[in-house]
Amino acid sequence: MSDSVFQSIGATTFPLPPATEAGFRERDPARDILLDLLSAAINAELGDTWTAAVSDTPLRGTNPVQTKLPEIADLDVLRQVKTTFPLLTVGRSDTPIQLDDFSIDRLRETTRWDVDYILGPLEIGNLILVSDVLMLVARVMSLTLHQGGHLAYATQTNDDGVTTYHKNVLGPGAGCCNFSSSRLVDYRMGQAAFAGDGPKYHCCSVILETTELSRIDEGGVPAAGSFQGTNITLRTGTEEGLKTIVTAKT
Amino acid sequence: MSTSQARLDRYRRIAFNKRSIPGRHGLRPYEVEVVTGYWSPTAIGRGGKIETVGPILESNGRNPKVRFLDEEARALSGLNHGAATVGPITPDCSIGGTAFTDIIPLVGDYSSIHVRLTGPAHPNGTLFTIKELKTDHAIHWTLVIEPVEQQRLGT
Repeated sequence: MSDSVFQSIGATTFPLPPATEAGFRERDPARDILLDLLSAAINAELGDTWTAAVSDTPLRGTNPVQTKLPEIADLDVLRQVKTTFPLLTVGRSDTPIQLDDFSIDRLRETTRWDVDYILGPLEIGNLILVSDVLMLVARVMSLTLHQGGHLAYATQTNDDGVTTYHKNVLGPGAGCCNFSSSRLVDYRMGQAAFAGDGPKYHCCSVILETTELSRIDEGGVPAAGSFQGTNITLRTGTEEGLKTIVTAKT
Repeated sequence: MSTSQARLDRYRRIAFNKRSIPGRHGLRPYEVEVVTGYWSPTAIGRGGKIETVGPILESNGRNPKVRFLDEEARALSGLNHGAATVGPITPDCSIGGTAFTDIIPLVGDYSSIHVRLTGPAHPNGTLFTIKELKTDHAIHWTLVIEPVEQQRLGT
């Protein structure tokens, strides 16, 4: 038996199961699921409108989300990676993750996420032409989070075998985020934080909040039978005078 | 080739040859390479990384000049400790040189671009981020770079 806490929190289970791919992505897939889900949702909802709207701008030939990055975008990141705008980035915020007791044996982890949708630099005419898409993107994100998934990302068939609906990929299950709750906290439109004194990168910055709960892996906890010894006495009560109520002897 | 272009080419050829002289005497100890990393076609950091490396060289395969910036220069330009300049780099001419796309390769989305320095202070090679490529001079270009990742120690 391996040495472990035999507990899970969110989609992470200890002991860690054998790896099937390089890196730690499969240990906590929430970030990549969020990125792919929001990207699929935005492209599905805005795709046709987008194509017509940007036909005379430098964004011609792109999708509403052309590239996506599982990391908070800053100038240093963008100097290292070739990305075409519009760019969607998702990463855990640098604000502290909060931990509290959800119940007597469960912890709750509350995480903030930064989601940036960056249009890139645009001259004023093109900016006015397309900047309202920032508001639409935020609303698509909000509604997608509210329903826990999107048809364009993952589907599930109802018990009748016919009806197909979106899979709740934010909730529990294998290959899902295993969030206990998720919500869009706030969003704002403006210049991307990384841009500094350079060209203005127009952006919609969204803050999400998710919670994940811990749970004990009942099957993995060492069985009572592994408690070895003879003449062991277990009592309730205290040495300070409380009467012993239950005594068990081996 | 017009007269002015021919003159420019001639100046670059002269510079290309002269800039190799310190290297010929062992005075350019740093190898400089542009490292392009190809990841999966849909995301960076997924799958495995395939590297393509292209050296930046003056004539006869000599190393270019590398200068680590002192505290004052870094403070003035807002650069971090370890920042360096590479250059003068001779732009491409009829006998060689470095094309713009040798430094900033035409790569697809999700590819990473870095510069690797290998030399006395970075014996195993260190990856640098390209902060700026100065191309406003016709006969020399300059790269401004900042360290981002130390390569693994030798076996």
